[in-house]
Amino acid sequence: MYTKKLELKKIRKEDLTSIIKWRNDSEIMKYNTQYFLLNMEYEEKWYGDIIKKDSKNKMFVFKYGKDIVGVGGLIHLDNQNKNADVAIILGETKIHGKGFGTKALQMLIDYGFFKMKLHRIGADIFEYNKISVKLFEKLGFTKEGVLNDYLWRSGKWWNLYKYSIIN
Amino acid sequence: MIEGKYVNLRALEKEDLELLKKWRNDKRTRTHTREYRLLNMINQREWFETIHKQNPPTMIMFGIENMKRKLIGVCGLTYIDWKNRHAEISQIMSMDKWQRTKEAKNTLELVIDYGFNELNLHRLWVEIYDTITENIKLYEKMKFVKEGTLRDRLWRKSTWHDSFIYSMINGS
Repeated sequence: MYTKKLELKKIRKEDLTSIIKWRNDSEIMKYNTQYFLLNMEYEEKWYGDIIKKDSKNKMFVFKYGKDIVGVGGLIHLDNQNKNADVAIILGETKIHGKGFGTKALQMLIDYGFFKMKLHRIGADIFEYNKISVKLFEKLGFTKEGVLNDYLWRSGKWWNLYKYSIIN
Repeated sequence: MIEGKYVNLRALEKEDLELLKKWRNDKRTRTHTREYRLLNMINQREWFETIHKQNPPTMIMFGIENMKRKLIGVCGLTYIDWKNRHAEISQIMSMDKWQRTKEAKNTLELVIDYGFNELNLHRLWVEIYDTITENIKLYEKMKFVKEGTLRDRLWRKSTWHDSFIYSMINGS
């Protein structure tokens, strides 16, 4: 049934509308550090940054068949130390729970290690994001530490987990 | 999108500015905002661009949509002071006597929840001119506390007016 391949594609300007929709979805915002709603102004500024050659963020959309279904990439790139963080949003809820997260994350790890020659890829995961904890551990990420009361959400303090994978 | 029972809050886009200008220049609105000029699109665009230049922002604004997804107002937090953790609430809606509607009350609930529970602000406040009893009623219904009266704060229609400061403290 899901025979089409998930692909990493360069972000085009016309993808921004979908990306805004995903990023402003309350179910997705919950798991990201973004705390206000984004509009086209912010998104175009962000796009202007990521298409620069020396951008610290290498971003892609995930394409499945004809549709784009998510956005992700390697961010906070530190060339000196061959370090970056991974970010991933699978925006289209209809593709959730079908193993696409595993595929998408694996593609980003491969891109980071083999194309960008990174040494370490880090990830920040909020403690209540059980699905990401499971996914990242499955793909070999190690929990490095817990930042206590790092995050204020829904009227409470929450911990943040630091994960990483070394090439 | 911030979802409520009667309204949803969404991001404002450039295309909304024309409608916002119309609301802000409305005779009724002008009696209860600080703005004394009639705004044009240049003022509106400057205002919009300022919002996007700041980091961290001192103003976070939303469009208010009813359940039919129609834009019926604008609201948000202004004068955000991240060090002392306070901000002023701002709200304009398009309906006649909007202060009495369930949409207005729901909007305020969402803005208060966002200010306290997402931004971790400590104090939310509002300044209301004595001429605008609808707003006084609305904020008293929302359990804001009247902190003081600023005497002769406003010159309108050839006379001086007082303004009231109302506030709500997180957790009290």
